[in-house]
Amino acid sequence: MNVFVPELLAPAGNLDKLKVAISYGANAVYLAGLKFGLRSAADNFTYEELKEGVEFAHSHNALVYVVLNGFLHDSDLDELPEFVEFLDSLKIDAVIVSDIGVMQVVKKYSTIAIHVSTQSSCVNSEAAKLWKNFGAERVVLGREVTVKEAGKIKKDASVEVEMFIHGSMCMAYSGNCTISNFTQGRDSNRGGCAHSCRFEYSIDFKDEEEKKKAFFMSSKDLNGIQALPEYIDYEIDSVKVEGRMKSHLYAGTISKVYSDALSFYKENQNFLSDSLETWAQELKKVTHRSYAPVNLFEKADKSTIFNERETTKEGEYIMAGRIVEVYKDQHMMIEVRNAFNVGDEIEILPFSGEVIKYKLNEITNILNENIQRTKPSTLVKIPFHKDAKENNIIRMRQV
Amino acid sequence: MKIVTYISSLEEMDLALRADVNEVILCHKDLSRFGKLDSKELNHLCARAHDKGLKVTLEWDVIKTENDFKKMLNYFNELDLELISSVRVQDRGVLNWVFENTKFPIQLILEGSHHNLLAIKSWEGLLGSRLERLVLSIEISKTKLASYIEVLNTPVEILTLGRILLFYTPRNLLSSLKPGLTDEFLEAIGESEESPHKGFPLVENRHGTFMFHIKRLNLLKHLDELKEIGLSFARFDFRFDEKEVFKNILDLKFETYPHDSIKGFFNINKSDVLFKKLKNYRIQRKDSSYIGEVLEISSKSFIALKVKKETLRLNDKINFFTPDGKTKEFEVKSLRDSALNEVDSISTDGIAILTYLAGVSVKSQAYKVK
Repeated sequence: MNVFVPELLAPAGNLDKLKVAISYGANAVYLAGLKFGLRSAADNFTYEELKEGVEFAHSHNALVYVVLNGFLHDSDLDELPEFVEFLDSLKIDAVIVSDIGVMQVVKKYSTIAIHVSTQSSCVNSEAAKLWKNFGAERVVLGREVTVKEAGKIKKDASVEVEMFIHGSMCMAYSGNCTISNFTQGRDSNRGGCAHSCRFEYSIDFKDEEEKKKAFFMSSKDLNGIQALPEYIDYEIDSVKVEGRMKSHLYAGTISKVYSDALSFYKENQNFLSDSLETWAQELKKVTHRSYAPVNLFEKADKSTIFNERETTKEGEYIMAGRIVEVYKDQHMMIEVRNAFNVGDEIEILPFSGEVIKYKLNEITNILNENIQRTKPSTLVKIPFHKDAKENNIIRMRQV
Repeated sequence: MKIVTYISSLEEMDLALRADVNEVILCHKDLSRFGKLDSKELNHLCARAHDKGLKVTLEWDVIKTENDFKKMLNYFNELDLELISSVRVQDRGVLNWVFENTKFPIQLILEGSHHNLLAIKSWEGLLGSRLERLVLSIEISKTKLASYIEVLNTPVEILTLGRILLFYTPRNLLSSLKPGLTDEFLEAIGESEESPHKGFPLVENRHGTFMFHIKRLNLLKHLDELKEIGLSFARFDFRFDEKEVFKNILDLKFETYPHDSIKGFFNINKSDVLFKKLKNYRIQRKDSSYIGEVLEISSKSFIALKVKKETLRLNDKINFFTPDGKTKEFEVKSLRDSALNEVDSISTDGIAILTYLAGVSVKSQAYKVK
């Protein structure tokens, strides 16, 4: 039986995160080269890393979409044809574009499929029709669209639709915020967003004596796990996770949870409410702002504003480290991110299946000397576990 | 070069006429971001403007998702369309609908984006003779603007006086701070300790919430230059001003403009120069002789290198490129795996333990010397 299941599209801020996301079940990743994207501060990919990333993805039956979604200036375009030809030679699966000039370059210098970026704020079927007529294979819909509306857009415009399902939200219509441009001299639409919407502001209403302090422009994070049945009902082609700047723990956890959920659906053609709740609990373990479905079911109201300072909360997990080598029957080498001690219970996040709880009875440094407490940015060895694999994420509860 | 401006009353229309303005922009409250007129009011003003020989342009610049988009069509169809000369649009859905379902000349708003000629010219190609005007971004410098105007076939307009819109969301952000309030229109001033600028004007209305720059854009002193480079239309936006400001400026009493102002990117746009400082380009992997990355250093003891590509062998020569920009040459005279066994080689994904070399630090990138 042919069961419709959306593609799970995960962020890949660098080559390591690409491997993590795909290993944990993403069907596709999106990433950027060193230029032309919207995350200048992310590591992004050099030519060599792109080549290796595409090879890795394709060998794991995953697709690679490269973002070229800046609103570029003339000088930026000079180097674009060469890059596009390079991407074509790698046989990437699509580019994600917002600038119509960039689309022209892609069409002229390659046969790569074009996905219209969310940065274009495509939020209705008329806009989707326009982009389809221009040659786009897919539109990444604006985050303001409900799942039901997305289904209608897909049907009316006969175009593939991609929607965000998880992660941070722009409060503004994407592509319609230039705060950084005018206040920090950094073009937010070429990768320089200074996240001014996350600042605390004093609001003076003039008719009130006291100013009100509020994070009034900051959005809660999107969490669409409970909306997954709707995404499937409306046949949304691709569900996208935000977060190229986020950690390996985030990339791994989110990819695993949504992948597990979609795999479950593929096998069973339904979701059990218990399972949805279990996955929802897993999603709460990564650092996040308060979650909300935001616009997925209905238009976002005031309850979707994240009016608080960002802190790590109780119940969240932090990344203890990452397995960078498995030395069979002897040890696992861990790249430590946050310190842990002998006696701590850590959790190894396998690429699929149940989390492996692991009590640390012994830790040694590279020279095989016993240590009691690890230090961030060092390598340590812990005893071998047969189910652990290289690139598995290790997490521990925040205390 | 002609002046275009918004009007929302007969009084403003008379002021515009007195100043020899021959085109006015009308804003419907359900179709335009800052529109005040309902269909009846707009039709009335439109008829009067039409009688006076003014060209009337309807602004339809709100962005609406699928369900609300359909509702906008009803408002549009309530208007006396035969009295409207042109429609100016921004959302690509509105553009497509107007293009496919009406015969109106289109004024296309490309503000906030379209900072390259190829993009701008693409719309000329797509819209053909239906494209009446291009409303370009104020982030384009004068020199660039001049070069564009020279090759474009379509008349160009830019904002030359008025508020600079920084942010547009459909969410109601201000009323969330005023529980129980039922007003549709709210204004406030916002400032943040984390921003170098203080006093952002904020507006909430039926279309969402908007933030503006603390200063106004003011290119009044440059009108002659703009005329010289071939700008066809200069837009004055008085929608957030007292009538007196409207009157004085149209009477060419430019010195009376009461707001702090800036020229924005009129002289130059260098909004990408800071990008180079956002990350360390020295530790980016660059060529095919790449071998791996240093994960740990123990002073005077060892270097732990993650072999990410190819195989590292005894006697290989390596260059380490450090995060602080140094290059350190190294020869692999001793090689151990992570279990500290002496080995001849370490293949991809393995950890190589090398002898310590001063100056090499964590995140240094290793390249084989061939």
